[in-house]
Amino acid sequence: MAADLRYLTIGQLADAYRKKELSPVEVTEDSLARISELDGKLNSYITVTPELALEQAKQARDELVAGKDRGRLQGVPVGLKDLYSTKGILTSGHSKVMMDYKPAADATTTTLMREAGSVLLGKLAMHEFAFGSPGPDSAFPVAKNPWNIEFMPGGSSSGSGTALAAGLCYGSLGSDTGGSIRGPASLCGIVGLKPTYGRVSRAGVLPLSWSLDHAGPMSRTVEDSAIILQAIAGYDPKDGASANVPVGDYTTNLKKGVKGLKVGVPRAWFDEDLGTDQETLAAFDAAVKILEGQGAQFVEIDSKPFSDARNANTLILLAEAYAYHEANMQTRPQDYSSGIRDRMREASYISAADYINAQRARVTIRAQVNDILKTVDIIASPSSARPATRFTEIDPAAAYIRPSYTNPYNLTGLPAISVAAGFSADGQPIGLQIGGRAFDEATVFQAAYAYEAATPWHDMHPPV
Amino acid sequence: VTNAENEITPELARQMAAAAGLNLSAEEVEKLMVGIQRNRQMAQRVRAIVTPDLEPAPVFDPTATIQPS
Repeated sequence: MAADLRYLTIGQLADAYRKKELSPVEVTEDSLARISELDGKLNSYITVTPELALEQAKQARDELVAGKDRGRLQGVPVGLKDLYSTKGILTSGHSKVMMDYKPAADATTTTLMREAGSVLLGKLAMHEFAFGSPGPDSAFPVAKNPWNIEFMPGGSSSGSGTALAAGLCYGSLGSDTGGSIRGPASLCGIVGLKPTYGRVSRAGVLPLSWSLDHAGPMSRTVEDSAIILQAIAGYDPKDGASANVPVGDYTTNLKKGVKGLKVGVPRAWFDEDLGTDQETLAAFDAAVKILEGQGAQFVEIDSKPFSDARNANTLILLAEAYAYHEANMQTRPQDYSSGIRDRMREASYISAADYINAQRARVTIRAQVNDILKTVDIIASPSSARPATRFTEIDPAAAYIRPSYTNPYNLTGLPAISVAAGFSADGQPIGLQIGGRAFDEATVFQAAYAYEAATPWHDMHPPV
Repeated sequence: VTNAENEITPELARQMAAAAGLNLSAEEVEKLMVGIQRNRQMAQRVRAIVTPDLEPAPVFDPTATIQPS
């Protein structure tokens, strides 16, 4: 029971609480014990909050007994990427620069997760300021991939991917500026959704690049991400980019299936530059066959806007990130780890014209992708061009010589999910990405759920 | 201080960094050169898809009354 307990889904936990088969207190105690037992070698948490977690778990237990039902997240232990502001709790951005920062207020999403009754286990490791790469001069220990701790878990929401895959929390919030939710989801064999830009508030979330940043859920199943998104989606006047668009119901149509859905595949993109790993392509083709077998219709679509997106996304990200960090880069560069410091310095050479032209190109690319989405319902691709690499083989430049499947969805603001889609020969997870129309997360979830339900990957767990 | 391919040279990079308030050694500048040239190539590729009538993606809302946090 103990091993199964740690890999229950949020939906299963919610049912077990209401049937009185489990208590939020016992589940929270079990999660804290597992963190204590395993996280010394996985490094997924920067801060663990046991007193707060047990207090919130007892509150959830008492409320459920009293008949006060806050919904499916009530009593569910979660972790937050360490860039979500948590009142009075270290919010470091995994950086020496923020080593002592304890915010005076919660992020809007932190508040929403608390009001939904979730239990905060702690704050999760990440790449520094959601941008750097893991290195020996990192401010906190670097999260490791639980499928093999010699491998990266992906980033920048690395701790979220690690903790979920290892059963050290039941849900998490990550952030995604170029793929930082979907990348670790893919490399850790879990689920991560980048919602539509404006769908989830970024107020109180440390920024990387304001016009590309997205907050979103990470979980072990598609349904769990839908449950979390339901709790955090909605208009927030504290976020200048928040969209006042009605929030749909993300769970009702989950099981509707893909029969009749038209799926676009930008196939030529897969061979760009050094191309895509053969095992990843094989897993993608197998996923296509599964969805075709369920009645989805696949068509090839124009790859050019997807291929073009990388350049504009990178320039916008770098320029906006440098604007945020400029003062600290001038006065205290030694407080950044080398992985982020060098990229920030490179960013200082991007001109105003380069940045504005990237924002102009963005208009064209967004229109091209939206035109494609008038002819198909969703778009499918691998989530990452290759499975996780070993820490000893990290090459920051390597990211630029293979296709980035995640960037176009940040540039266009369209929703996209990564769902587990198999394993490489050396046991590393592979992800399937499904993107959709603006504010149509429901169809993205629906297709991802159909694939997940037909495959065993989400039921497989790392040997920790 | 740019070469025949209109690339930024290390000397120009050092001068630009100083003007931007970044005090970089010659070794530190040298480490940046690959990334600087890559970003410039990206900017050239972006220019190729920009047409004269394009405005940047709008981010400014003149009706906003609340200071975003």
